[in-house]
Amino acid sequence: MKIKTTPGERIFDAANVLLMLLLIVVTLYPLWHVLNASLSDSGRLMGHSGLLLLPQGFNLDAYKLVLGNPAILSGYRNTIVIVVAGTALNLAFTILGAYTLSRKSFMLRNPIMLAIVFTMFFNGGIIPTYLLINNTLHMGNSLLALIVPGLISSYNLIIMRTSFQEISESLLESARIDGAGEIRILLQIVIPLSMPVIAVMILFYGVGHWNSWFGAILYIRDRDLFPLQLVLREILIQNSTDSMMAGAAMGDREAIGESVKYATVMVATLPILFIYPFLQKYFVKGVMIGAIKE
Amino acid sequence: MSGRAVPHKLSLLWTNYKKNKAIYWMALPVVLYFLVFKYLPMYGAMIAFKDYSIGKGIWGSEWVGLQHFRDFFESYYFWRILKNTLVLSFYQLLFGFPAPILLALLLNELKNEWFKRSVQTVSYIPHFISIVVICGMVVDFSARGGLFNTIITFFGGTDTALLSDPSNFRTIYTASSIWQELGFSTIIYLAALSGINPELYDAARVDGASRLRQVWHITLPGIMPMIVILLILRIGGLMEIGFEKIILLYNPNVYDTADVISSFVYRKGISESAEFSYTTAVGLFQSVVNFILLLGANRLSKAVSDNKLF
Amino acid sequence: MGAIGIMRKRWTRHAALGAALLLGLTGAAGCSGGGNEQAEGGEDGATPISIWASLNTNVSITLKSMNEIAAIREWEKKTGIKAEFQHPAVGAETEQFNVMLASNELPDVMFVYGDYAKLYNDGSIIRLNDLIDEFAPNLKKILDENPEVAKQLKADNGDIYAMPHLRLGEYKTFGGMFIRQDWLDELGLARPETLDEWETVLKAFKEKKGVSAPLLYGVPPKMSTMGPAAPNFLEAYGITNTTFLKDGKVAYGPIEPEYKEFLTLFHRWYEEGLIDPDFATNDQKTFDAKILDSQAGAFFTFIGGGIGRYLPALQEKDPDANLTPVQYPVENKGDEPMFTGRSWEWSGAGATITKSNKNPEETVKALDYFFGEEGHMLKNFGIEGETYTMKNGYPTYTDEILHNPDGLSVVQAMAKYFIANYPFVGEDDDRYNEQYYQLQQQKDAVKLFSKYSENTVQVSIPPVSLTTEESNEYSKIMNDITTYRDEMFIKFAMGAEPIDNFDSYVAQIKKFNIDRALEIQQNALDRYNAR
Repeated sequence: MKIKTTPGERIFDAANVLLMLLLIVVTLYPLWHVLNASLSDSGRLMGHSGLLLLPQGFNLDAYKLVLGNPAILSGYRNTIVIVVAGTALNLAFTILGAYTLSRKSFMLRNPIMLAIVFTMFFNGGIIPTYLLINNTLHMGNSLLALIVPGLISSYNLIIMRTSFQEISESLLESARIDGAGEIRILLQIVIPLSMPVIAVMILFYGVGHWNSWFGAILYIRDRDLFPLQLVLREILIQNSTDSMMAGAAMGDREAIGESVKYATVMVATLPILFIYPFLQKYFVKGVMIGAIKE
Repeated sequence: MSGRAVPHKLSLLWTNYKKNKAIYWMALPVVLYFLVFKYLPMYGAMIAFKDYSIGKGIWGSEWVGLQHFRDFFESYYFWRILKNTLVLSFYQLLFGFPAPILLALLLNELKNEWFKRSVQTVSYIPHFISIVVICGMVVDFSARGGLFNTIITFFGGTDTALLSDPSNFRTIYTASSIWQELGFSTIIYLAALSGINPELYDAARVDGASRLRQVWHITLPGIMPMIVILLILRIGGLMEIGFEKIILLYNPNVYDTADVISSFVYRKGISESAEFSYTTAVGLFQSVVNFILLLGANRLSKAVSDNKLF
Repeated sequence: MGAIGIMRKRWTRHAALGAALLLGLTGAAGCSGGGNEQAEGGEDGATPISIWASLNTNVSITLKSMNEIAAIREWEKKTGIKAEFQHPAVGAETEQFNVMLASNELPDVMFVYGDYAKLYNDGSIIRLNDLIDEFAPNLKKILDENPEVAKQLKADNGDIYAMPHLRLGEYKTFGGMFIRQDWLDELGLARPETLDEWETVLKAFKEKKGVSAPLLYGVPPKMSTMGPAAPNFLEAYGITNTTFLKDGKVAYGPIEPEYKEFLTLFHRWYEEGLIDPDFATNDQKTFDAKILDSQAGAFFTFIGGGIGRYLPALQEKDPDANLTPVQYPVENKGDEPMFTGRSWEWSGAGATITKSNKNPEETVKALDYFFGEEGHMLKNFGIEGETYTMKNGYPTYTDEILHNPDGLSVVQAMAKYFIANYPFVGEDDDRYNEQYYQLQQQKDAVKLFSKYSENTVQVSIPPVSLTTEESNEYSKIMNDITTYRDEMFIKFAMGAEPIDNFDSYVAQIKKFNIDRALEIQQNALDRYNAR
């Protein structure tokens, strides 16, 4: 069905497109800057200030250095394991939580929800958690220590639950009358209807795992188990003037080059950027859901 | 009376369990996770009331009561850092919260699917660039002769070091946060938008509703539950501004507007090897306020709409 | 795929434990001596010793662990031990250190940089005095011959808790002011010594060279713990930015009358455009850019990481550019500079023996090897014939180090073979510094900056130790004061606060109870002097 557009709407559409183009320029710039800086000659880069529209000189040394680090391969491997296994477990647990807590017939849902929200604000701090994971559960120095403690993010659970709550109660009720059990309802109705929010969860958890390094700082002592971000963080620190031992070693540092900082960002960022276009297809308007919703 | 009420409630619960056994069992792993990994370690929070020393451990360290809280509240700078934290949070709420909603609505109005996807994909990139690099750019742009000043002088302003003027800090902080997070925060609303029944739009168009009216009567209500929940969560974070970005952007000259609770505590941490107790006490104070704010927001939302956390 | 397999194996093993926990919720007591799990009986009967130490980033470029360093392998052979290094992530040493102590799973040796008395009082490490007397003849000899070093190493009660990293040589200052020598030559000026001469030079830079930052000043405290770059011009007045010794007593620089004189001068320089107008907002990037853009006439930097970086980059752009070191400034002609950023003989880093160590004697004996002649050479120069050769009695690095065939820089090549350029047990050798600095300007600088190093001993507070209570109280007072000082310094310098308000500024700092803070330091100093 075709509806005629009014002049006002056309002006709006044009303005909207222009605005979006501006947004593209403004938000693409950081990546462009980093890319150019990573390909620049370090000396010239140090002396440069302002917009960086093209590389200053051309030099791949920074990438050679970053990718030549002895821990980089194992870093990629560990991170991929954590992202894949971690996100899968995250999803399973979060869906369980979000589904049960979105069921109006579940009498304990409000108290449990309150208890979960409480943990977003109050926690025992690093040390007791460390003692639990390392001394009691003996997960220290293994990738499990980087996955299990963060099995469910309360924030993500709440988002997912909010989305589940939007699914029509009568639809679930009729499935129940047809004799479907809770697990079947979850697997065959709720999950297929919730692909957009599941895609968001994959993104949030996946990106979270990809970017995380703090857990590894505490739990991992074996460099073969370092995730990528920790390896990159070390390369970064080695190239900066900040260091724990600054007082003791400050005279003896030789900087590798400013461009290394940017090469690390590229190496750390590029792979994860590709995840979104794959998830995007789940955001198409009214995926199935329209047909069934009230 | 209450003596009767408790068994009554228990028997209600039992009936509820009998009726929804599967749900109870499905919720069990989730509940266990929170018990073991979140509640079990919670005893650690008591170090806020102790002088924690690693050797004596959490249980063995001496009680000092409210000493750390008093130290914090009595600091000369307490009111300033409290005010700065709240004002900065408020700016973030006022400008940072609606921005992704607006972007989601604008994206929703784009007709070309390919263009729409490109905008989405590009706009979410800055989220992934490390904060150190982003702040490096901001500092560079704000310097004398930097990009921002080129623009300002073009419009007849004067060239100044923008980041050494306390009155600019909040603007720069907030604007750069929006710049970095806008696209990524939009995703959640895009997901919510895809849940809206397209037939509603078709019907509205047949009725001759303008696009603005469609946005107002269909799109916004469709994502309202998500907006409200995220707003409640955001209000529950008003007392907290992370230290990292502040530290990368500020300097002593703009402490007046830039120094917040976390950066103040961070500076204290530098001079001291392990300020566990003090940091925990400050964190606890922030959490209590945040939690109260969240409860209030939740109650308010319950009163005016059906949207609530619990 | 292999990784997933590993994961799965781990997963099943841990799932069992996890299940046990979920059912019983038992809090099993932590096992101690975690570092020793696979310890018993290394090959050929060598004693295994686990060593927790931060991994220097120059090492991690080529190696995954200090175990792979050639000098460490040699050390193992000589001493009959098997070192098992454990490395926390670089830049996160404190975090892992704290949880490690809390978990009670300690390695045999911890190489740290910290509050040793506290570690001892907490029961994590042991006292070494008797062990050193009996098993560390080389270190004992050094301590006997250098009572000042022994004093630094000992706690207030005479205990020794660490096998130290020492700097006994001549070179103890590694940073200072550098100036554009080519501009001085062009303008026919000599290197400035006094504040007046500095003013003349900076004015000439401003007027004749038209640069924006004749004096480039300070990277403000960002993520770094170093704070504002060394305030050399303040120190020309005989005070510092923080606590120091005034006639042997602890004093706080920012409330001394000289501080007002400094502020007056600095404000005038700021007004006249002699100081970088953006000194408050500079970060490393803008700081570097001004130097390389030839906008900076003089600035403070470190000899290694600073000049080693700036000079080549600057000369690539402008072949005539030249940076030379300038002596620390003084107020009057003929004065000797007092504050030179000299490090103490004991850098504060050292190896501690934990209570979990089952072979403390052998450990101390092995670590003492580095204080002997053979070990000293091994630590600083590596293996003779491979990384150095003796030329007229002077250990000279080979091309493997100075012009590495694999393209490693000097520090990186050094780090692969021996432990000269970062703290580790043993003593630094001046002959390392002389060769490590490649550029003539650097070689000049290390000599020039160290010339008056010894003066600094009279005016700086030695490495005293505070009790836990003292340290808590001190930090509580100083936290507000430091914030206030930093803020007011910039306001005075930029003129936002008239210098006439100096007295009320001092009054405010007194109100923060600076007197009590100084008393705490003074008491600690008295205890130190009584050692």
